[in-house]
Amino acid sequence: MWEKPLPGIDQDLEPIFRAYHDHEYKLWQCTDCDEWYFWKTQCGSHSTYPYFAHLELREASGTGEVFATTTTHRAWDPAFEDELPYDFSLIELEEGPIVSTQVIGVEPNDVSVGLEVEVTFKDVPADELTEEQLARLPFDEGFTLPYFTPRGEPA
Amino acid sequence: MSFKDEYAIVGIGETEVGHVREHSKRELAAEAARLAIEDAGIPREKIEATIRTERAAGTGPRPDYIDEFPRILKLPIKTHFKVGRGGEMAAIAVTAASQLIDLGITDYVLVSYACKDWTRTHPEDHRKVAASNVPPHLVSSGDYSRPFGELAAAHLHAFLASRHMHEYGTTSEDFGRIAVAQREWACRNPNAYMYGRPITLEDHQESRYVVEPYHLYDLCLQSDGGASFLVTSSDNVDEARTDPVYVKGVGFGEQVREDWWTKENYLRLPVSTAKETAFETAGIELDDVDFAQLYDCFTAEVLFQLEDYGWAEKGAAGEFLREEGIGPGGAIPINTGGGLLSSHHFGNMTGIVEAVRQLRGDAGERQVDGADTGIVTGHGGEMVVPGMASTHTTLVLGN
Repeated sequence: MWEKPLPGIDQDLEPIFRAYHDHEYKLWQCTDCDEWYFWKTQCGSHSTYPYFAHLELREASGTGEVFATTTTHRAWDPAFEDELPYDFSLIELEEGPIVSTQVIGVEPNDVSVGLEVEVTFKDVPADELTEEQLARLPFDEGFTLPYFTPRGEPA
Repeated sequence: MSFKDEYAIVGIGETEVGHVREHSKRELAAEAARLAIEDAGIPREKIEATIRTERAAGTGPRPDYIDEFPRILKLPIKTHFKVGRGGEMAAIAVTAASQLIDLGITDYVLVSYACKDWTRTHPEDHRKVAASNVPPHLVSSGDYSRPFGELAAAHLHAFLASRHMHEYGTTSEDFGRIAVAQREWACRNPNAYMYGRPITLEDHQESRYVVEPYHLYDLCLQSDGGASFLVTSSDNVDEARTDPVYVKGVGFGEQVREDWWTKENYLRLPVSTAKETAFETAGIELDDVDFAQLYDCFTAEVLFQLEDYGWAEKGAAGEFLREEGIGPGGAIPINTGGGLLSSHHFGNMTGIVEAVRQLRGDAGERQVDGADTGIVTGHGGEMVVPGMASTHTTLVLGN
């Protein structure tokens, strides 16, 4: 069963998490200037469009490099006790946006700024979630998390 | 419209700080307020507006207006509200207070703050206090990173340290020098939680990692206690028995005005507009600042501000700390009461009370010689992955 916190998937994040579920790494792209965004937001250069209609969710590379990195030695949540110390990093994606994630498949202290990484999806299906957890998610089938791992290495 | 010297702080109150098991948050806010009124020596019936500062005014515990400090103290208020956005609440309160006074709504505005953060973060004590003191755990909307282990303020703040270290070669020892200097100040402040407990750079390096690159001594304290201050128009300062401390300028900065997650925002805080407005209003330059109470939730916040305010070039704060210093006898006295790192964490209420003490010449063993102008900064905002949509305030106080 899934004991860690749930991702706070709000209305803006729902389409991206829907793509994760299909194991597709997608980002928002401005149809006018091709600028990429993680957050569904105004394109900085085209902020007058009503309801951001110029943004489209498009397939992205799912690769990037570590932008900043931390190693956690304390479990604020007991669900993390077994994996201490664990990595929590920022990734600068190939397309430009910065996202936070956990880099896995490598010792946390071997994760350094500049390390090339790629996405690896982990499914948390409905049968690993309680009814109460499912009620807090926008999806009936569970959710999928985009972890990252050093490029070219199995997770 | 003038602002400089139009308003003054004529009373401050601070309860015992640190681990205050026996008093509730409401009692602490009221006690701090009572102390501020007593300090100023003005009659309670003159206080017709009150503000409670709260680090998360929009979320956190349910409203408790039914038993807020103005009711407990029987103040004849016309209005009472909460303000805050992270730790910059005191500057918002000063700004709001000036307007209430200007509009003729009141001659005095009493601002008070309390928290039970030590108790909230220590489970064995948590059980011993009323549940009403403890806000329910909230998961923010859009916070997608918690399942990856983003569980504490230290996580997103440590990214700033990681990035500065990568970009400029800043080291853990550089952060450590901030912790050591502030502990030195705390050891001169009998009300500081860490009074009598000095540390060395070696102690900092040997303290356990919490969220690497941060050691334990890079993190601020979680405190119980309350703090308060009383604002009035400069026309009324003779009514108080204290020496007035004048508000010289206030300024605000926001990362939300741009894409807060852009790369540059991992290497700076939104100081520039805050400093510009506050310094311009006060008519001062950086050299006029005799001491600074810089927001220090983590050591990197201080290091960033040393650069963002201009005491050091961008990237050179490590060198500044090695060669000039911020402790007693250093080039610029920073966080002279010990700050959030070594005294207590009441957001920028910690700094405002300490600044008033310094400007009155009441800071005892840690008194900065010739303290005439000081700044108090605030930092806060939303921790929203992948970073921090942060906000900054500069408050210039002086004689």
